[in-house]
Formats: sequence, C-alpha cells, structure tokens
Amino acid sequence: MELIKSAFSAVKRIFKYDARFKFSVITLTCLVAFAILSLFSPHDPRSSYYAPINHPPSLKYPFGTNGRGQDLFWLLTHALKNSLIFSLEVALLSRVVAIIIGITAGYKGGLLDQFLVLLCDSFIILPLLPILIFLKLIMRTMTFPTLAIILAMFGWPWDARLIRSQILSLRERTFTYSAVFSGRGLWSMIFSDYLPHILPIVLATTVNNMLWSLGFEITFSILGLTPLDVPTMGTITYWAIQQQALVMGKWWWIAFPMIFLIFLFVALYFLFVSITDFIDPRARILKRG
Amino acid sequence: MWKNFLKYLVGRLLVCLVVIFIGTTITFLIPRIIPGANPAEVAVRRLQMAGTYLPPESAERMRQALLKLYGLEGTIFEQYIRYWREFLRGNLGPSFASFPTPVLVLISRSIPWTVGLLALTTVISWLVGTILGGIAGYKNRGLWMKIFEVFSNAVRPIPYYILALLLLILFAYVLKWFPTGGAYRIGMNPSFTWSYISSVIKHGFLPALSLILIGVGGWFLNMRNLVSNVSHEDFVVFASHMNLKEDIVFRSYVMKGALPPQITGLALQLGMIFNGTIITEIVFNYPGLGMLIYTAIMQADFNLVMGITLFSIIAVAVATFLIDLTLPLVDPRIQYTGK
Amino acid sequence: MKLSVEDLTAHYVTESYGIVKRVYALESVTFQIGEEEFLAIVGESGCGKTTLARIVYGAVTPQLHIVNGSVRYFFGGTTYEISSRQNSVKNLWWKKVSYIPQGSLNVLNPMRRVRDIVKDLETSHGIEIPEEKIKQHLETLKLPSHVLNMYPFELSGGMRQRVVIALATILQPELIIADEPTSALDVVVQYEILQLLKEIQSQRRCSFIFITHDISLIPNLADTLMIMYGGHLVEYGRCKEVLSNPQHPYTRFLISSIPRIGDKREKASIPGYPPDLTNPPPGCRFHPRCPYVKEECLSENPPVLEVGPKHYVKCWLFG
Repeated sequence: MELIKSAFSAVKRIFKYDARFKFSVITLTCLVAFAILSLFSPHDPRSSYYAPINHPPSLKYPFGTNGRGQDLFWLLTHALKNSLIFSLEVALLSRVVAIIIGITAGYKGGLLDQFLVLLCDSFIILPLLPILIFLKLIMRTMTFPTLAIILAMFGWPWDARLIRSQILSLRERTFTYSAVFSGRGLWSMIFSDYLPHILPIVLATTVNNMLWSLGFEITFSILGLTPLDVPTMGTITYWAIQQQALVMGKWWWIAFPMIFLIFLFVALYFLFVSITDFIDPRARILKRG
Repeated sequence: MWKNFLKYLVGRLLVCLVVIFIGTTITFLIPRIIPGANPAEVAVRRLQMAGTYLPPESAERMRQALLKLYGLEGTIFEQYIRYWREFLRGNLGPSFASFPTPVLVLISRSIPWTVGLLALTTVISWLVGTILGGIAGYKNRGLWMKIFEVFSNAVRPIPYYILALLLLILFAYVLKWFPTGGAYRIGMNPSFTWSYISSVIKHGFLPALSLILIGVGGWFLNMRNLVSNVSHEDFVVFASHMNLKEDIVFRSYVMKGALPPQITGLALQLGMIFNGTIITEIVFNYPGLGMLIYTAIMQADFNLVMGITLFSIIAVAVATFLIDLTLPLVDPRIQYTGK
Repeated sequence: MKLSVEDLTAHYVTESYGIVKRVYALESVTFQIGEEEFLAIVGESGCGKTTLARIVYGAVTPQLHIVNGSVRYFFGGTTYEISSRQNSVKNLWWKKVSYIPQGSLNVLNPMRRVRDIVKDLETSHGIEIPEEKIKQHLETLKLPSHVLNMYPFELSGGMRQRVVIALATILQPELIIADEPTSALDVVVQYEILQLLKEIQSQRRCSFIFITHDISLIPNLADTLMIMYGGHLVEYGRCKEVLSNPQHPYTRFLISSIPRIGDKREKASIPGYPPDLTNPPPGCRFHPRCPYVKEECLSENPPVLEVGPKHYVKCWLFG
C-alpha cells in the first residue's frame, strides 16, 4: 500500500535529520534486543538463591548478584521484557478505547459529543494513585495483567481528546463532504481517508501512554503493591530498596536497573517528541525557516 | 455577558460534580462487587491467619460488628443511601489500625503537610516554568535557555519516584546535606519559633525540590511551545507591524494569548501532580496524605484507605474547579462564548 | 516619486527533514508610485501580490529571500531601502507607511479592548492622541465611539475591518498598503469600505496600494492598475487606459469576466490551471493557458514593452 511506502520514507527522513529520533530508535532497539535475551536465560526468573549473594559485578556475573541470590544480568533481561510487554499491553488496550471514543465524539458531535467530552474531562481529573491503592487493598492480589487492564481503563482520556480534535478538523475538510455526499459508508471513509491523518497521532500517543503506564508500574511496584516475585523494572528496584542496597554499599543493585530505566524513559520520550514534531508541519518549517 | 460567564461556571461545576460522583461511586461499588473483597470477611480472615484463635461465635460477632462499622449491612440500595448520608455529614468512619480515631481526624492531621508541599511546589514550578518558557518561546535565543531546555527535556520523562530517590540518595545519604525524612526534627513541638520553622524548611527542602524540578521542566516546555505558536498568530504579527514596543507585544499579546491554555493545562494535570506529591511523601517519609495512605495499606486499614481515596478525589476535583474559575479572569472571550 | 520597486525577485525557501522547497514567488517586478497615487494590484490567488505587499512593507519573514532587486522609499529627502542586504524601513512602520493585512478579521488581539490597542500604539510611538481626536477619527470611518470599550470579538466583521483601517490611518502615514481589505465581507459592506478608502486617500493626500483578486472593484477607484500573474507583472498602466484597452491576453480575460448589466453573453473561463510556483512553466508563465501562444513564449521570458503612453505589457505578442 502507498501508505506503508510513504510511512517508510518518512521514517527514513526523520531518522536522518532528527538526532533525537536516531537516538531513541537505536536505544530502543538495543533495549528490545536485551529484553529478547531473556529467552535464553539459564535461570527461571522467579527462582532465587541460585547464585552467591551480594557478589559485585564480575566476569561470571556481569551485573553482579543481589541479596536474594539472583544473577542480576539475566534478571534484568526478564525485568525489561516484562515491563516493556506490560506497557505495550496498556498502551494498545487504551488505544482501542481512545480511538473509538475520539472518533465517535469528533464525528457525531452534538449531545453525544458533549457527554463524551464531559466523561473524558472527568476521567482526566481523577487522581489515579489513591484509587489504585484502594483497588489493591480490595483485591488483595493485583496481578500484572489486572493492573494493565485497570490502567488501560484510565489511560484513554487524554488521547481520546487529541483524536477527537483531529477528527473535528478533518470533518470540516472538503474531502469529507465529497465522501459523504457521494454516499460513502462511514467506516470505509474513516479507514481510507482519515487513517493517514490519525495514524501519526495514534502512534505518538501510544508512545506517550507507554511512558505513562511504565511510570505507574514502577511506582506501584516500588511501593510493594504488585507481585514481587515477577521480575519487572519496578520490582527489581523494590527489592533493592527493601534490602537497603545503598546503606550496605551494594550499588550495583540499584545502579544497573536505574541506568536501564533512564535510557528507556529518555528514549521513549525522545521518540514521542520527534514524532510529534514531525506531525506538526508548522513546527517543522518554522524551526528551520 | 454575565450569562455566558454563568454558562461557563455551570459547565465546569458539572465536570467537578461528575468527577466526584464517578470517584465516590467507584469507591463505593468496588468492595461490594468484587467477590471475596468484603472488608469484614477479610479483616476476620486476616486475624485468623495471623494465628489468633477465634471461637466461631466470637468470629461471627466480630464479623457482624465490622459489617456494621463498614456500613455493609442491608441491601446495596440501603448501603448507598447510608453511604451518602454519612459522607455528607463528614463521617468517614473510624480507622481500623488506630481505632477508634476517626478517619477524618487522621486525614486532617496530614492535610497541612500535603497541601503545603503541593501548593508551594506547584505555584513555584508553574510560575517559574511559565515565565521562563514565555521568554524562551518568544526570544528563542540565549545559551541559558538552551541549557534549561535540555535539562527540562531530560528530566521530564523521569517518573517522580526515581527523581525523588535520586535526590534522596545524593543529598541525604551521600552528601548528607539534608535529613533523610520526616517533616521536622524528631521530638520537636510545632510552634512559631525559628528553630521549628527552620527545621520544617530543612526537612521539606528535598521533597519540594524534587517536585519542583520535574514540574518546572514540564511547564517550561509547554509554555515555550504555546508562546512559539502564538507568536505566529495573525494578531501578534500585526502588532509587530504596527511597530509596537517589543515588551508590550510580549506581555500583552504573546503571553496573554498563551496563558489560557497554560492555565487549562494546570487544571488538567492537577491529578497527576497530586499523585507525584503522594509518591514524593512516601520516599521522604513526609507526614502527609501519601505516608498516611501507605501505612494504611500496609496495615490493611480499610476505612482509612477508602477515606483518603474519597478525600483525594474530592480535593482534586474542587481544586481543579477553582483553577478553572481563574480562566475567565485571564481570557475575556469566555464571557462572550461561554467556552 | 514616493516609492520605487526595481527588478524585484523573491523566493520562499523552506527546509524540513532534508527536503528543500523553493517557491518562485516574484520575478523582476518593477513599478513606481508617486504622490497621491492610488495603485491597484490585481491578480488571482497565488500570483504573488501578498508577497509583493509584504516585501514592499518590509515585513520579510525568515523564509522569504529577496534574490534580486530592491524597494526604495523617498521621504523628505531621505532614501530608505529594502533589499537582500538591508532593511531600513522598520523605523517608518506605521508612521510613514502602514499595512492592512489580508484576513483582517483575526488581526486584532482578542484579549485587548480597542481602546487599549490604541494606547499601545501611543506608548510605542511615543505620542499622545487626545480622546477627542480618536473619536473623530473613528467617526470618519463611521464607527461609533463606544467601539473603544469593546473587545474585537464583540464587533462584526465590517466593524473589525474598519477598526483595522482606523488603526492603520491614525498616525497619518503617507503610504498605505491594503491587501484584500474587503474579501471577507459581504457586498454591501464591501462597497462602503471601498468608498471609505477612496475618501481617506483623497482627503489625506496619501498614496495607496490596493490589492485584490476582484477586478470588478477597480473601475472608478484607482489611478494606476497593475495586473499580476504567476509572480510576474504582466500589465501596468493608467487605470482607465488598461481597462478600456487591455493588451495582455490574461488582462483581456479578466476584464471580460466583469459582469455588466444587460450583458447576457456567455463568459469564457481561462482554460488550464494557475501555475505551480514551486515548479513554474519555463518562458512565459501564462503560456500553458494562452490562446495566442507562440514559439518564443515556451522558452523565453517576455520583455516589458511600452504599448502606449505609460502603458506597459510583458508579452511576446508585442515584441
């Protein structure tokens, strides 16, 4: 399809001319490769005390071992993989809701639109952390898939609003009127005509949502409210803090996860910013002009 | 004109009320809908698992007492009515872990710390970020602005917890410049003496710094983009064609044009800023709502957690509404279109 | 002479993500304006008239590059120049020259009352205009004095336009550039504004550049008429002369399109499309649509030739 071809050439161009995009693509590729390494891990991620405790980084254990006798290197591969998959789950699930609500509100307009906007605004304002803590108390065990679903239920309003405003502007364009008057079906029009315009925004908001859900996962895990035997970036940090890594001078427990985390966050953020810059033509031209 | 302002007011009030309604209904429904989540049962089971021996009749009596305590008697409908009645009376029930202290009392002790931290850091970071962002977006030059921009971009994606932790490690453990937690030195009594106040400042510095650093970066970037866009609007270009003095254009045309969306941004992000404050409190052991809810969940204190959740929802909704109210003061168009 | 534009060539250059786009907006435009002269510039959208207006005013944005030529102002013995190397006109802005931009409806700051905008003007130019004078000035534009207390969005389109004109004329400039000042208004208001502009020009004895795409507005309005097409000046002369005796094929089309009462003939539209200025046709830019196209037209830019007293045409038909 032409869409794929033009998307591909756009990506090549952004890569060449936007240093942030280059950085984020390279970094993310490395991180994903690292996460894929987890498939070759010789240890079951949930097991513990299979290695000598508190060993500093060495040839045998490149990232050292922690107080629970786990090889930090392989543990980190699993942690990265789980965190990435988690944030992708949330992002994709909430995309579905955001797109449906955004398109419906933007296109139908009227009372339905006003109601949906009211809903969006209300959900945006809700402070999520206390609610999540409350849910955790009620549910006693909060598994990661459950947390993902809950976050997805709260992660759509920002992006639904963005998609809605994009649809609003598209609706007024002439090609919409010609499509409608020529009797084109609503969904076929949305797919073939609107899609090229919506896709970049959906992509940008997906990345943003990943950032958001990752932040929540880590925060929630550090508070000790998620299954702590499942290695994620958050739970690793929890254990490091729990076992007083710093006080005991075992810097590698915290340092390695934190380095990976910072790279992950900055890479995702740069990806988001560079895509958003590319989408907004005025920002593009004015910066160079 | 006033009619439109009223229309706007009612619109925002509606949002505030819907938020409160959704929040409180979620808080009401969840424990009653999820199977096995009945707090009374959970509490009893917890005791039994902890090894306490409870003869069946005592366990049953305890269950009944707890059911009554948690307002779980009767049909869902009866419970809902009772829920709202007590809620409107300000009765959030007693805390389980600190029985019989009412939840509201515990919350009221923690509020000043959270509100102080939140209000202070939000105001500072929003003001500083907005002003600097305005200058950077309009003039677009200067090495300092570039440095600030890089810094903001670097800090923005990092979650509150990580930054707070980093600051704690660096300044409290490594450099030992600041205390590692608490709101004031242990053993001190709240008073208007300088030693108390300086202790509060010293203890509050790192948590505040952590919140301000993240906040200011975000507001800076946001305002800079807004101002950059507004600078290219027709009326700003026209103002420069009219050869109006640059600082007049900057203040009354560009900044004024960019302020309304920046304020709206504040209103929408308040919930997230609140989350961030809670997390920072937990990292720094700061005795606000954050610490309170953290210890509450560790102690499985159902009423307290629910109370704090409810309170947070309402507080954020009301604060958002208040911020929305400042918008008509800045943007005269609201009086005209009511939007 | 007040203003002289010589061989002005200007392009827009933008670069984003490695793609450079160049728009050949203006080519070799030359004309002059004298004291109290009312010049009308007519052309379709995209012919370069707004670019010309911007450069004449000296509002050169970073993407706009003056490749060749210059614009010179002669005020009280001093010459001010705008070219690729310099732009000394900024000090004259609003005091000696003013610019009424296209799309005036959004040009007033929505957050400021009209009175405050006037005050901004006063402060910036270091003058004080007594309230009476302001009200008088508004009156000449048929604006009630309570407009001063209103916000721009409270005014109708026609009133906003008149406020913009009021602002542009309050400092008594000697040259006023108006870019499509009536395009967004309904016909009745359009007529009123045109009359107003003509009055201002004759009363103040200033020079006026009036830019429009609608040639039917021009009769009885302008002294001199300039027709633009595809970035080129194609015909230029005294208004009455050009209207009654159009030489360039494009002008002839334009004039024949003016509706006349009683004229029931079918109007021919120009075949083809306006040129894409990122990739303009070689030679004469009108040649793809011209019914009289010759061989020279395809490859070489036509010269400017005098076909009558002060009547110039850029066309191979006369060369």
